[in-house]
Amino acid sequence: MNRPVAILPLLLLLLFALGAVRTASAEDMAPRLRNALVKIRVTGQSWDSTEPWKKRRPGTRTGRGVVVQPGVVLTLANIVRDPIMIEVSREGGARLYPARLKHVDARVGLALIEITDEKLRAQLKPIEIGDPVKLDDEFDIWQLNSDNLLQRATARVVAARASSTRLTLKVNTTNPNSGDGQVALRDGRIAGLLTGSVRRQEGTILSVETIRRYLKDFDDGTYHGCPGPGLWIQPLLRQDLRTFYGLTDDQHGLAITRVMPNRTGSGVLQKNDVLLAIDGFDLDDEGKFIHPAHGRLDTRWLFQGRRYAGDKIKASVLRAGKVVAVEFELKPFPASEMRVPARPANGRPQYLVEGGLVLLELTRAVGVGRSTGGVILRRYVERATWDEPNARRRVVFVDHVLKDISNKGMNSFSKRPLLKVNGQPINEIADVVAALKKPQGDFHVFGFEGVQSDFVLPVKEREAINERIAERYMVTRTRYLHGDPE
Amino acid sequence: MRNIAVLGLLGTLALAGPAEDLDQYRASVVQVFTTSQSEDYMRPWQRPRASGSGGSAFFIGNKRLMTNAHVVSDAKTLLVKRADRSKRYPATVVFKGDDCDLAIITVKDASFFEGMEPLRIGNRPDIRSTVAAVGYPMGGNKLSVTQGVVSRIELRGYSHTGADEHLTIQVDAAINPGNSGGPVVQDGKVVGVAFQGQFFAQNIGYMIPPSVIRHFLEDIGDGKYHGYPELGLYTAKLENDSLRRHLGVPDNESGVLVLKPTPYASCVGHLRRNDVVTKIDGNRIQNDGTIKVGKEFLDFSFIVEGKQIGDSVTLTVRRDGKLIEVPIKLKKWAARMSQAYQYDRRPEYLVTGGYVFAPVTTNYLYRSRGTEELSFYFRQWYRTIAVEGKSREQLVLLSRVLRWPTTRYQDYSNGIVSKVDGTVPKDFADFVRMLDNAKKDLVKIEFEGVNTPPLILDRRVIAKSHKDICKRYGITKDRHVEEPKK
Repeated sequence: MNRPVAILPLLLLLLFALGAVRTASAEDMAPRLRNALVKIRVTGQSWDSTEPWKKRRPGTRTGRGVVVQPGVVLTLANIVRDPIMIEVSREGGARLYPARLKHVDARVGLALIEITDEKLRAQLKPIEIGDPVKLDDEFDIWQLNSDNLLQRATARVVAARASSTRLTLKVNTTNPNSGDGQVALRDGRIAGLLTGSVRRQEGTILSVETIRRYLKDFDDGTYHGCPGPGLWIQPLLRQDLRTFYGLTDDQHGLAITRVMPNRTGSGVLQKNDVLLAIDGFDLDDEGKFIHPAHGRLDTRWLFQGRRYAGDKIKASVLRAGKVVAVEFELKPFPASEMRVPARPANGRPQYLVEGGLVLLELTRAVGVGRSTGGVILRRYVERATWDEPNARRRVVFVDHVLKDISNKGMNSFSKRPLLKVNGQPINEIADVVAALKKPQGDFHVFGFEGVQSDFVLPVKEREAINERIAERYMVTRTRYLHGDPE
Repeated sequence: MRNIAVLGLLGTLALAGPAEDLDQYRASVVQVFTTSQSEDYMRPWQRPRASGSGGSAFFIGNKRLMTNAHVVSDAKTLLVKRADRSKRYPATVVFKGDDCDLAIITVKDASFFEGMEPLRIGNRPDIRSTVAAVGYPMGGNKLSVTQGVVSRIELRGYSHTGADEHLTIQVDAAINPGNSGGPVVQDGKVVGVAFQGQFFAQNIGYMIPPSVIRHFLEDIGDGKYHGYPELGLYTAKLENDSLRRHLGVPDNESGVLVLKPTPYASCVGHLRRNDVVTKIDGNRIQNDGTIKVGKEFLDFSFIVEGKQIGDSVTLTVRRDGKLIEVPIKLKKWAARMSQAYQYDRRPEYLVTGGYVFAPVTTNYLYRSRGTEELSFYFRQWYRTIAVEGKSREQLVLLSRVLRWPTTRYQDYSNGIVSKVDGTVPKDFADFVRMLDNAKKDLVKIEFEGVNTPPLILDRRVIAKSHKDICKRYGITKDRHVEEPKK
């Protein structure tokens, strides 16, 4: 008697629920996407990394993006690299509208550009960021094709990959093109951006989790980036290491081999601790954990790629044979604090040309070669990125020497790290400028790392020498330091 | 590694000049047949397949034949044959100088030397003078005499060790495989020993000059070959006027700037950085580091070329504004970590529980086709150890891990040992002693590099598995360790 009464509300609930998750059809989406997808055309030109007064040949890149805030387009970082001019076009037309770079995070791989044409801004409508997609989920990938017409492909998630900065999903897709910011949509909301190459119908999308984290990072008005590493960790697959760290057969985790001062985990975690669990996720011996939606993922994503500096992390740690619960704060480690960053800030190398020495700050974008000096530099490249910021702030080195009669017989300085100028230690390239104000008698004396003679530059002739070299080698500008006029 | 090919086991150059009579050499220049077997640095408990090769040698009297060191290195059997006889006689090596690529061999059977006339060592031939190379080059079995002109005399690398440099005479006739060890004659006297050629050039062959031959013969006078002394100086040219002014070198003076006396060599304690060496044994040193020898300018180290270990050389040095005479007693460079390729030596190694350790040597890098990474570390440590004289004398390498249930998940590729239970091994023998004398069950071996996992040797596990591993992998002897010479 009571049974039909009970079933009726249940059926009604199910009907409502079905309505709520009804997939937006391609026909439904097309009108909205016409006002949300844009094609981006970027004229880019990078600085020459070893003759930084020059720029390389300009090039044009084309990518896609989607409006996520009024007048603001989300796209991939590599599309907008070294921009000189950014333009966008919209569905159905060839007209190009001006835009400007609003923000880029190369490590995460995302960027925001702002459309500056007021009329277009008003016409374009943001699309909401959707819920995370998981393994086997299906969705559409939309783009504006070469004729600026809407084109749709289907995709299905087949695997997930995590790194210290982002979560990506591998998809099987009918999309024939390489990923350049094409938009994954599910239920009318953004489900990811297609990135990287599409080969044999396999592509990669940047996940909703990564996109959400990136956009939310601006909430306090400043972008902070993913928390930096502060820990050195090692997998514990090998039995010899498991024995050494005292793990029982049912304990699994990652050994901590170093905790960097003032970085994530400092003061709480210790060398030789074994991380067993983070935020309730058990770690395995390879450094991965099981995510309920994405499967096995890299542990670094747990406390870097999905979190924010200042967040608190709860962890379970094996220390001296006992399992202890700890809590530590995630700390930032911006590229500006790395001794050897991946690229110069803003893509523009700081440099000085003095007496023919082309002095640069070392970045991983510079080829160090195989010379004796290169061997020394490579040591810095290997270690310095992860080093504490208490040593030299930057490595200043001679990339090469512009030969001149004044430096005759003194041109074996290529790739040599510069240690001192006029007796003053050099911790960054600005120090060279300061040190040149205090010559040693009649000379400026440059001292280098390794078995190497000093380089001397006569004070009285310095200006004339620099002018002569600049003129002969067409060095249009003999210095660029941050703060100098562009 | 070697762009100059030793002609080892190969042969002669040159054509009979009008002054040279082939019959004169028929009995005195002999063919050398060598069966050699080098070492297997990846599986040092066994040797690679033996191979045969040939070269030339010439009679210098007293039952002695002179040839190249590379003709007889790693020889297992050595046979010699006169041009005027069909019989091949067994020979043995009496003296060998790898650094100067010369060797003395002898034949026990006195009848071999019947009717032989010793060839006399002449003087260094002049540039453009005609010489004839006598020997047994490829392309036939009979004695060959070919003619060429002396085209260049200079200090250059001897490719047999890849690390030594001595006076060399270049002739314009191609020196071919088989010529090695054969005499190059002029007016009936030996003015050189053919020894190497250029792979990618035409009409460039090299011979060892009389000064080096005499140095070798004088050295073995006491029944043992000692080798060349090393001045051991890192210097810079003083061609730059500003640098000379900065250092206070008068205009009428020239020389080289001392950057660093090399540890383990002759000048340590006698010279210091920023000394200017103006003369060597009274010979004025030019600003490019050369001295005038006859009509040629040769590197000032040429003076040391003529000295034996224990001899003295006097350097005139400008120090703190004054000229002083510095007598230097010449020593052999005593660093154990050498960049020279070595011969007739068993590789050192240790196999323990499936882990194969070995010292890093040039032989290892060359024979194992060492990775770029390993070469980088070798160069870096060579610089640190041999040039800067720091802590260690040899580098120890985990060269490979033999797969076994107890060595699972080992992902080492050429890990350089940094510490054993917290202590730096100073050489390979020291490392082996540390393992042999370990008291604890677990021995921690750490490696160079950023965050490279340590290896924990569980001596209990090794005790159980070692014999089985050796048996299954055909390891007949699990170690070869040489204690350093006192």
